[in-house]
Amino acid sequence: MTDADLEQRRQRFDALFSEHLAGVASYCRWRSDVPSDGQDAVGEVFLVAWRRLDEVPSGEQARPWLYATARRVMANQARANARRSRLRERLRAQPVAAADEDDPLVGRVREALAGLGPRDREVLLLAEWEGLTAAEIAVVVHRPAVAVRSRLHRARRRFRTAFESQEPAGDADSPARRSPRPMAGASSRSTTFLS
Amino acid sequence: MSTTPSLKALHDASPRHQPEFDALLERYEQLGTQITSSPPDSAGGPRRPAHRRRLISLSLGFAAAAALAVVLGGLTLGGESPQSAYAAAHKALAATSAQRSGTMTLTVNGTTLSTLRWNDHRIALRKDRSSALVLGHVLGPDLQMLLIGGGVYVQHQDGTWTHYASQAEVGEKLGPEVEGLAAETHPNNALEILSVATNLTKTSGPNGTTLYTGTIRNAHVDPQMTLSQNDVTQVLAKLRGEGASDANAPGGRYPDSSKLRMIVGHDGLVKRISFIFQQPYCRAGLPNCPQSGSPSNPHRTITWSVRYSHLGDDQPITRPTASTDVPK
Repeated sequence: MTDADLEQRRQRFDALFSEHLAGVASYCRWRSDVPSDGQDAVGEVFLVAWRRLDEVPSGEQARPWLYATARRVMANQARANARRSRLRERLRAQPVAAADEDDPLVGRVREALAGLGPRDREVLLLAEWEGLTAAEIAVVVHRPAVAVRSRLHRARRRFRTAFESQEPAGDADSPARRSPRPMAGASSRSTTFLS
Repeated sequence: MSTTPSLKALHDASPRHQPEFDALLERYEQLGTQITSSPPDSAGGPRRPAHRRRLISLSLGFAAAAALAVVLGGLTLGGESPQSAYAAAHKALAATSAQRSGTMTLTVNGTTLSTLRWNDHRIALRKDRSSALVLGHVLGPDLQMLLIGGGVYVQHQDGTWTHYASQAEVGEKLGPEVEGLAAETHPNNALEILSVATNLTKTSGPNGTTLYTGTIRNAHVDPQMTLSQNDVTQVLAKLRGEGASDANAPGGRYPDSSKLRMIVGHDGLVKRISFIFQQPYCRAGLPNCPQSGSPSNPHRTITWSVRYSHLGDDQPITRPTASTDVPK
């Protein structure tokens, strides 16, 4: 590889990094079990992108490619963690503190998300937090786009129902506040989405 | 997009809207430069997990490591930037500089060194107490400096204040710093930042942000630079000029791969400007590199960032309640 090739490669990577850093960091943050794993995952994702830059699609298609890579990286992390210790499995069953537990809306969001299945939750957050289209989510989760659209529709409806069914925060007798449920699908990798 | 209360609440709970998210991104800023300093492997060769882990841990583990405490970064003119990106960036910088008040926070590799606030003609510079960096700080051992009503207030380590009735009375030691401080917020100063970048590119980021990236050319490549606006540009001129050939200078001999990154928010104002370069090795005596001052050490990535905040908030800058006047 000549110096000119390397510089051209660096410029393309820089553009990719600048454009997608926030998205990948956000996804890894809410998708990882542990914040430090999420931070490591961000580095892993972009290192993979650098090493395999020729395989990274150009334009808008780069984004789902990066998210899909992040998903695989975090899956590998989870498998490695599981091999090392089963402690994390037990930790996963515990509800995770919200970012701002004093914020009643955050609490309601957290509870509503906890009521979703892990797959519903993931497609919902990829759409609503990351702004991915159904077609892009399909690339990330390796499912047909039509199935993703269906799941997304269902996830939105379930989330809305769960959210609206909660009593407004501040009511000390609210079941949601009195006895927070563990995450549905407690063994999923989405337990820190509000940490 | 639906705007039902439930989805609005969901959007508001996004990690991107949490206050620490920007700080998280700032920690990642150096990551790109670090990665591109590793060998590419487009053919998908064997993985090197140990190397990868080390790279990542380095990227997240850096603390302050530069030698100078200044409040804005800028370099010199290159002429190859695409006009559209240049014009848009120019507009954002001009709008930011035109703000009557605001705050600039300088960080080096994620550690805050200084905070500068301005409100009209009043300026306050505060050295961050958590910064381990003392060498080269514009305030030296002092903690704060205020420019108010033509006078200068300096807060010392013991908390007491000294008042100089005019900027001309601060003496030879502080005089240049006072002049430089006033220049930090000069509109031309911000615009100079753009003049240093070549290959300026503009990309859309999340939440309406716009990212600008450019390459900083080495002074040896572009010797025609003329930088004299303030402390920062004077320092950078030194780094890029005769200082650039001095391996003992911070940033000395840094290569042409040094980068300028600028983030503009959805409001059209600059949020952060970063200057990223490889430092061949640590200067003896600087924090975090007491054992690494050797030319044989790998390059370290240094990121200077200036974060803009509270633009137009009209935050007050007031005189200290007690100070000792310096006799004329």
